[in-house]
Amino acid sequence: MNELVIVVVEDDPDVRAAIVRDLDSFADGIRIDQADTVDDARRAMAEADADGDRVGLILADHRLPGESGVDLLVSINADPELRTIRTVLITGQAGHEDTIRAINEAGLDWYFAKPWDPDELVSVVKQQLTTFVIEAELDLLRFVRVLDGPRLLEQYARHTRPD
Amino acid sequence: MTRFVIIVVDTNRADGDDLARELRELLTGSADVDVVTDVETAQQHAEVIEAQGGLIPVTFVDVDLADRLSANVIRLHDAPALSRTKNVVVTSKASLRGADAALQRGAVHGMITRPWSREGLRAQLVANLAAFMIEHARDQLDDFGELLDADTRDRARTRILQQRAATRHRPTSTPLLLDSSITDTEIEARMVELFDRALGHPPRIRVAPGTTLIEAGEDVGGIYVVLDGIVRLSTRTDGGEHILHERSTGAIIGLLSLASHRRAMLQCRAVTEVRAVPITLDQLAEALGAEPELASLLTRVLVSSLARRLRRSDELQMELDQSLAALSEARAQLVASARFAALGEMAAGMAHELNNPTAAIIRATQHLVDDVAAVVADDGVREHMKEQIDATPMSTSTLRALRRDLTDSLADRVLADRLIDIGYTSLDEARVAASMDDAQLTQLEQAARLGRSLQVITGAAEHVQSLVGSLRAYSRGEDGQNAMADDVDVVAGVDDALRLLSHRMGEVDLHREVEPVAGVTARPGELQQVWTNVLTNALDAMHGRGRLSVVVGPVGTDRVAVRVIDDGQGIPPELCERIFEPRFTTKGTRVEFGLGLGLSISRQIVEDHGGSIRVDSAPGRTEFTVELPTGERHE
Repeated sequence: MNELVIVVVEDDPDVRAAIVRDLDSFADGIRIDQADTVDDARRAMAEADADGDRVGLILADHRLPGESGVDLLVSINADPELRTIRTVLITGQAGHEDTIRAINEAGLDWYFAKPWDPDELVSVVKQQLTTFVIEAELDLLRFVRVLDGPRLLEQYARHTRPD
Repeated sequence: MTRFVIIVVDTNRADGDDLARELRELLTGSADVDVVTDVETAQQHAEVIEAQGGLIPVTFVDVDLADRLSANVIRLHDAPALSRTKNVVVTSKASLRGADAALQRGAVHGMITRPWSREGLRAQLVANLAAFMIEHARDQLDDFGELLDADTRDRARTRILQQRAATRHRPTSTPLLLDSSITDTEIEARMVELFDRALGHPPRIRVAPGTTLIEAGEDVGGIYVVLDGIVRLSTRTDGGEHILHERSTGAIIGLLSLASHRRAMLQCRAVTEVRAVPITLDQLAEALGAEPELASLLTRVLVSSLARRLRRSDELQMELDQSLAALSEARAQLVASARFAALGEMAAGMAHELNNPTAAIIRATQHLVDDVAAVVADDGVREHMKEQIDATPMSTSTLRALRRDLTDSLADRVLADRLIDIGYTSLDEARVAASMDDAQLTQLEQAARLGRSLQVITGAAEHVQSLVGSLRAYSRGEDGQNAMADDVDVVAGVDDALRLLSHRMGEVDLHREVEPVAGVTARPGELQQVWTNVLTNALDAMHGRGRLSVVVGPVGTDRVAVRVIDDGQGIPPELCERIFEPRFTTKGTRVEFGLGLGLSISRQIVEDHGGSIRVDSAPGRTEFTVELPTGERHE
């Protein structure tokens, strides 16, 4: 496995740029791929898979041309190979029904309303990716600097020194 | 030659003189008409006339005090000199209350209300004069010449024969209730005949339009058999008078009250001049005893009267239901309309308030560009920043491909990310930059970000400004009034609505075909409501995909048409008209802007503007056409 990848799915280039910029602190250690539609996001995931990279988190806007962000997250949750991927929805004005569907059917891990708080965004992405890294049993030490170090170290200790 | 005298008893001298003058004209000298003002004088006068060998065939009695009417007439009737005289009661009261006792005693032979018609007065005079003459002075019938013609004499004679036969009992047993070959009119005529026979020709009364025959809530002294004229049954509530029956009243008035403790439920009032036979309760009992056939006639009349009223009541119920439904629709439409207007006002107000800050942001951003450029010392960095302000963002797939190539070529993904962030879009450019030191890279990176941020701010502010411009069209008018404006630009209005609905477009493929059109005279805010409703309706049917055509062009020389064509599932033909009805919606429980009233309100607005709205739908093609007259309009 080469790199841990976050896929940001957002059709508005300005908003996408702003999200990527807010996630700048992960750049050194985690790659951020951008996609502007659900199809494009699936291509990005396939590319990552082909390169031996591992998608750990998808941050999707709800309203996209064609399939919606919720559609994407639902399909990921329905795929046994992909369902470990952490899912975060970020949306301007999703209706109540869409939000409920995202939580019930997409196993949504977090929900942001626009405009998001950048500190909260960073903190949520950090926690969700840390959970992914632990559950996927990746090389924990590799992410101590960029993700939740203490949590990773504690997990590492528990694993290497079993009672 | 016998002297005939008609006595007019009137408490009001002038009224009595009027009546006397009229009677003299009718009598043309064949009888004298004397006027007195009270019952005592009348009695004394009658004695004098009798003593002189004169006859008094008829008195006209006008004593306006209702509570003393019966008593006065009875006193008159009881006077020996007047015992054979026919008494016609004249009343200017719009009610017949108080005459019951006199009718019962047989002291009243006719009744007429003020203002009398000449025809009515003549009828009463002739009928009673003829009756008196045949009974008491048959030899002198000719004295009255033309006034008592042969017909009149025959009728009077028949009546008197009936009167004499009244005491005799003649049983009949016609099964009338189920005999549909006999009309109501025939039944009524037969009833009158039987009443005449049983009661010795009870008097006919003739009342002026507006006369109250029975007052609601009061005891009913008897019934009225209506011979001709229309009687209205009505009831009074806080909301005014409610007419319940007019055509459906029936020929017998007061009969139903007998079933409710003799208390009248409704007011009975003459609409036209009404001729009727009053029958008191005792008379009714007497007649029923004497003529058993009357009972079955009454039953038949009662049943058909009830049936008629029930039908009328059913009609009223239906009318009521329809009115209530229409009322509730109208109310819902008003509420929705008011809501839209309020939202439009608020939006326009917001737009107004947002205009200044947005303009400030756009101006400040331009100043920021100039000032930051001036502050940056390094020419290369400054130029790079300016380039990034106008740079077009790469597509996400191009971006990912470029990064992969760069990562492969530099064997450093983090460095590749930085170079892309700086804005290099080709491998060659990026390879050159890869040799720069970290401080240089950082400076370029920051300049690029600065440039892109300025681009974002400008772009976002301009977007807000265009939305704000569109929202202002939803305002009621320049001065906040819902006023007509000349030369309203239909194309601009449709464009504004499209802009504000852009969030609903999804993958919809919009085709906009516009020809130049003349302005319309309209309330701009209301027209925006129409465009918004029609476009929203189309977008609802399209579920975020397909082709939406918006076509604006002239029709003839004096109209403009806006056509909105979607390729949604279409509207079934049987629903095409109904979609313009209030409350009609195929949107299930979704609450949209118009609450299911959008198209109904649109039609109302368009028609108010002298235009038309129609729909033409087939599966895969639904076309809404709004046509409006162009040019100035005079309301």
